[in-house]
Amino acid sequence: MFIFALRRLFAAIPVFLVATFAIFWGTSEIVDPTDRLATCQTCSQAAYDRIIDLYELDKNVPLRYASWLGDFVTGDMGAATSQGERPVSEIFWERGRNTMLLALPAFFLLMGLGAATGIYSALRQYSKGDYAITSISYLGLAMPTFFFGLLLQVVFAIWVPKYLGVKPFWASGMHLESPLQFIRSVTLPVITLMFVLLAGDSRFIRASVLDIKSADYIRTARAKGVSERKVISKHLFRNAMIPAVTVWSLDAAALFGGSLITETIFSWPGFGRLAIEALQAGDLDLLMSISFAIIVLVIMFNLLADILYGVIDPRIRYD
Amino acid sequence: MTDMLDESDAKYTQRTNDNLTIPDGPDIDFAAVEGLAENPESLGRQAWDRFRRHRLAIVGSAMLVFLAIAFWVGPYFLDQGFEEINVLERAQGPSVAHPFGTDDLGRDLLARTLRGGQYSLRIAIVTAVFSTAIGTVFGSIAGYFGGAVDGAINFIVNVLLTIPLLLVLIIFGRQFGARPNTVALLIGALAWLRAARLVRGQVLQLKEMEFVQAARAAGAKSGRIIVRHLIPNLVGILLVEITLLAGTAIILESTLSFLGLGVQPPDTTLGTLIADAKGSIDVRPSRVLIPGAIVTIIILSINFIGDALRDAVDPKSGIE
Amino acid sequence: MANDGLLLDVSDLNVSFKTKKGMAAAVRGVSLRVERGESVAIVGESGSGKSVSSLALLGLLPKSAQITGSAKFDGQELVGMTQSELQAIRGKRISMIFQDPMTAFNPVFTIGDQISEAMEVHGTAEGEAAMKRAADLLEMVGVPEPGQRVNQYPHEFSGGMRQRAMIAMAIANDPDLLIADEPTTALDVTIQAQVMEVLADIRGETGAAMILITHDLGVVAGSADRVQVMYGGRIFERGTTNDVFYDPLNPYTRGLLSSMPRVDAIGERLVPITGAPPSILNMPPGCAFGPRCEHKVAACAAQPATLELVKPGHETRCHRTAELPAYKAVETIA
Repeated sequence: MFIFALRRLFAAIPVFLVATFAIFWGTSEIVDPTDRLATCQTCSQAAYDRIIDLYELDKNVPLRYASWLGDFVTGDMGAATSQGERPVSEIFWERGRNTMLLALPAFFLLMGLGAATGIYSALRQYSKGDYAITSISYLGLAMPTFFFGLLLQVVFAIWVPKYLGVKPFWASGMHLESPLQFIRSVTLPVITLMFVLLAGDSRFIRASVLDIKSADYIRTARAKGVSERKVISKHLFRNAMIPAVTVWSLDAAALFGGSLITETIFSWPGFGRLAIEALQAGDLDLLMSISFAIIVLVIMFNLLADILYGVIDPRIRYD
Repeated sequence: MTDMLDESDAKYTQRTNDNLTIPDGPDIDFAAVEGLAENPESLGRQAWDRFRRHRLAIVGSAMLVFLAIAFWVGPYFLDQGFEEINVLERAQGPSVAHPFGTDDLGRDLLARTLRGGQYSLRIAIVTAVFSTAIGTVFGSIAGYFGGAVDGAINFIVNVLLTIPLLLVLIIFGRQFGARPNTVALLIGALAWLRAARLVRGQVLQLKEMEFVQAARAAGAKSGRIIVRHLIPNLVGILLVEITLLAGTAIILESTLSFLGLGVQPPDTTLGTLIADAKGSIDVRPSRVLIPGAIVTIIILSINFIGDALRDAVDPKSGIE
Repeated sequence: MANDGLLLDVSDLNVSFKTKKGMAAAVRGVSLRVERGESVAIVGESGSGKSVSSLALLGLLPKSAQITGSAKFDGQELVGMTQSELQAIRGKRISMIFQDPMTAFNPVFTIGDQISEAMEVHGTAEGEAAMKRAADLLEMVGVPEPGQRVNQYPHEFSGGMRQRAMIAMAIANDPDLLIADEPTTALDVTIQAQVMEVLADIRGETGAAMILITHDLGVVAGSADRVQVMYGGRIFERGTTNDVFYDPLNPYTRGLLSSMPRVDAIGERLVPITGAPPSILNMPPGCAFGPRCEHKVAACAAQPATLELVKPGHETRCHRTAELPAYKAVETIA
């Protein structure tokens, strides 16, 4: 298992290199840090030179990439010009923590609710509950995240206060003053983050449980006198976990990398918002650090999923 | 590396691998209990019957036709064009003259919504066709030739799977997002992975089939086999893929526009309309809700059609 | 256990499924008697209702199945029993051996786990003791190195070995009746013979009765005392294995026999039955086999025939039993 993990890690290195180089190159072509100075009347040639020097714009792209990558892997991400010269690592810690405040509850709720609704829907196929879950899932799959987030804002920040006279949740900003304020500010973004992913997870788990439900080995278990409850909790559940790991690993990569949309709509100072800020400020280095961090995260979760498959599914042997 | 592609992408395919249409009674899979003789009917006829069975898909098709007519024909019946600014009637609520109200520049929101709808649908179709075409080319080459070619394409797919799609779209959206066709090409260039995987799998199966072997034995060249023998057999799944990708494209396009990186003013898409209205959400929530609801209805309709098509093309994946 | 006496008495069993196109009758008025220690084969093509009837006995059909009639097992009525009552019988007194050993074992548990589970749910053995017995059972069915193989997963077993393990699991609680549903269909011909031999040995040791469900008359010849031939959900002919093989009365049985290669008739032409079996959603009103029968007359399309006793222990369902020519093995080609 250890050797397998190591091998996968090595195999991921070229993927990482090509992916990051592609992003580095593309971004360098498009994002020009000197843009900011073009409209700036008072800025001097010195400021211009400083930017050229800072982003090494006088060198060609592969050289810049190599020097940048060297810094990245040695853990030196430098300081972020657009964030008041604070060290990037410090910003990452802060923004990363903020993203986690949303992502962790969303992830655990997502796992629980996805499995619960998917399994329920499959076991009670064509029941009223299945109809309800299926209909909501379809809606979730058809709604862009930003629209769902705005919809929540309209309902909970405009209509509920207007007609009921109470404002149960914050519609924007992070409030950490007290646990209650935290819950009030985290609820809507967490639901937004979860909803679209949940719809997909629930459908996917439902489909795989439907397959498993009619599998021969389930009939075999019944034929040897295993009780219905145990058929589900042991034979069915264990097999349903295998495909679930796939969706959960993708969810984790999507959530923990920060959500551009949700964090923008709810003005949440997380990792995703940081990417937008960096883009708007034309801060190439920061944008690169963010992209690289997200790619590393995706590769890590893929690896984790592969290892989990090996644990759950004996047919997958890593040696 | 191949398995990584298959596993992580499998989610995407299977996620919608189910449908909402519910038969009148619980369906029994007799074939599972005991193989049963089937009534011989033509394949096309069977596929059409299966499609028709999905009432929601019929509703979805009708809805899309209605919206398309409204988007393209509707503007001819309006007095004010989507670009016309009328400073005397700025930021108004719905009225007889302006059923959806007006925006901050006094432009008629109904006209803008119809214009936005046109662009959103157009971008969706161009993206879906373009993306599926790339996927088909890569997928069929990978599946047909196998070996190093397959490995190389798999590597590209893996790299693209690792890159955060939305982030790349946003970075590149600044450059390419200005015109609808370039938005479509940009999304299309990044969204072909699922199609490639699907086609590769099908080609792997098809190329072992007798009619392909026979063509090869008769001396047909690879290119000819792919174009004449393999692709025609993929039409069904490609149709499904285009449909589902159109839904994905609308989501991505509207998201991009929402972040202000899509089609630029004075032109507009449904996502841009929502972005424009975001600031006045507490005063006039309908400005957000109307285009949002239209986007949702379009995607819902597309997904219903896609599921029904998939069931029609491949009965195994349908009703369980 | 091998004392005489009736073990299973099924009479007038009907199974139908609720479908979109109305009720579909899969099994119609089937009766079956199995003595202790006896082996009865049910033979028929796909869709003849042979598997459905056995799954119905154990309540293993989907909920949409409606079962009527009577099935007395050792005096207890199985039809209408609650699931928990049936659970006590399944795997303990009646065990099933399924067709496809590839998919019949749960891929995520070891073979040993799955065999001992059969004992644990019925309280016959627990934990270590169950594992130990699982290994013994594997040895009984001829799985080499059973001590190691209990800890292996299904995918590490070959098809033949898996089917042996399946048999081991079925006999874990020393059942009175084994229902083997196409036990050899998914296997290579050479392995088929081995598996049938294991089944015969095991029955010799435990004295269990067996219902052998198959479409393959070749499997029946050496391993069944009596044969029931099913078609379109009904029994078409039944009798001792000798009677049915050497003096088949029903045109369908004759058709089956002449479409089967046999060692005692080398050089003879195989005669296939033309056409395909009817769908249970669309049964002909008269004799189910009528449309394919070479002896059919107008009466055959009008109403189904009844099962008649022609000689002691030998019954057939045909309107034209008296008029049919005597059975010649097969026409020899000059």
